[in-house]
Amino acid sequence: MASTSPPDPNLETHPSGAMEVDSPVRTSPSPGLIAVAAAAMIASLYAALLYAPTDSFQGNVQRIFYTHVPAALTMYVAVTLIFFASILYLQKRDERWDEVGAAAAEVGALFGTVVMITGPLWARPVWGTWWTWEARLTSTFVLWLIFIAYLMLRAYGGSPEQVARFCAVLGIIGFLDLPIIHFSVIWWRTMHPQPVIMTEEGLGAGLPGSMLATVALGLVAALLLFTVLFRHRLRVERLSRQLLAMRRSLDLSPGEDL
Amino acid sequence: MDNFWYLFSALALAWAVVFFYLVTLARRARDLKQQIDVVQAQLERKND
Amino acid sequence: MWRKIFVLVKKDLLAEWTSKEILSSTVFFSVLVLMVFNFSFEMVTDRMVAGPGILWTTFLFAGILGMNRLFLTEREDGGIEGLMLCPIDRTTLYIAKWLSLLVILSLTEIATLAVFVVFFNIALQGGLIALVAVIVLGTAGLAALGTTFAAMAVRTRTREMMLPMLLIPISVPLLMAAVKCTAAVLGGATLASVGSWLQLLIAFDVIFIAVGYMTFPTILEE
Repeated sequence: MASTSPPDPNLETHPSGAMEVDSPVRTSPSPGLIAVAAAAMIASLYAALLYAPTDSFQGNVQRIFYTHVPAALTMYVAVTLIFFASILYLQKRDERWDEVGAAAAEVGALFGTVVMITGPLWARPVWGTWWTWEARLTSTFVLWLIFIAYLMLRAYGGSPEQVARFCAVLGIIGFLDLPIIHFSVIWWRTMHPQPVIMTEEGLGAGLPGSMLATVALGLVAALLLFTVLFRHRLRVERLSRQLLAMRRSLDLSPGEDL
Repeated sequence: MDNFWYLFSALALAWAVVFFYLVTLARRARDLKQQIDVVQAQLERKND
Repeated sequence: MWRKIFVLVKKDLLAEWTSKEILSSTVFFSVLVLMVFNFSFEMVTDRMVAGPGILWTTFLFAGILGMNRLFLTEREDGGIEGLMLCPIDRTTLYIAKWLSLLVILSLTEIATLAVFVVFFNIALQGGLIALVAVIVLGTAGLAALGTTFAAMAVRTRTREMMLPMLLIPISVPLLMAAVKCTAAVLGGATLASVGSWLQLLIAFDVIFIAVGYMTFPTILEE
């Protein structure tokens, strides 16, 4: 960051073009990708609402499953992405890996929010309570909190270069914490059994083929949506950094930067 | 069908959140591009 | 390396011994938190149900206060900047800070535990050594993360506000394990009965001391 030379005026005429050539990940989702993602989302919605059979015990509300579970899995994909981007940033000190972390965190937090919205609305009619400290709920909730903490650190961390370092460290710690959180909430539960029926437990094993296909389609749609939003967010990140660099070079007195 | 409203509100809220985020992203990109154009013009004036 | 660590820890503790700035605030704060909990949980007839959780919540809150203080003083006095000029490895600095924090937090916790026993009418039969072991293991993990996160927090724009936001979500499993082990010990059970929690506590300590050790130089870069 510190060694970045003032942007070449010739390149600036195409604000995004110059920086995208050497990016490790494509920014700005292509129209083709957007179309495929949109089609997958519509197909997934159709499958979830009309194709999958109505659950005999839970009724229609079980269809939330096809949004809730893919969103949760996508959140875990995002945190894994942040982990590897963090390590690569600390190793290579390439600003672009920090951009990947920033984009993945915000979009990951968005998917986490979807999980947190759909979860209680499913639990209420089925378990009779908005919230229960059930193992998977708890670990997903804690992960969501870590995402929020990461975004707070990004927002208030100080200079961009310092934010990049600190967020990379948090990205690594947060990821390593996940298995520990997982085991702790499972053991916590088994020692304090809840009086509610964990109907969700039975869903994985005896899932009919049509339901399984709907979940798989939902996952594909969620991952495609993630990719679109991620690339879009990455582009916003590039633009904002470019603006920052340009402002900096503008602030230098005329004689010095030429 | 009595729990249909839970399904409806969950999906409606989830889609609303995603849609709202998309709109925010598009607005951020547009604002940034506008500001880049302004600074770009200032830079060119200074360099001339 | 160990000689340097010893000198650094001694410097921190001597400074604290003369000013008593951190310990006076953390201990007083602990008493206040315990008093508030005592009012809040007056209806709970069996104090043992809420006791371990209250104890660790107090440790955590007072600990956050102490961590911030330790690193803010360094920052304000330019202590860290001074140390960076010395030929000391920054990973050595991590171990030294972690040890200083461990001592300061442990002293706070001894005082807290005494007040806790009186306020909550706890009978500490026999299991005192086991209890000390659990508290040391839990505090080691808190101090490991605290050293990393407090060093970060005092350098951010929000300063001490940032520490609880980073520390609390990450230390959820540590708190669960510490509460479970403490409950077992206070309830008269052996530590072997909560062996898996104890292992989790140790794993947590090892992982985050190692990560803190490796990433501390990154945090101190200026």
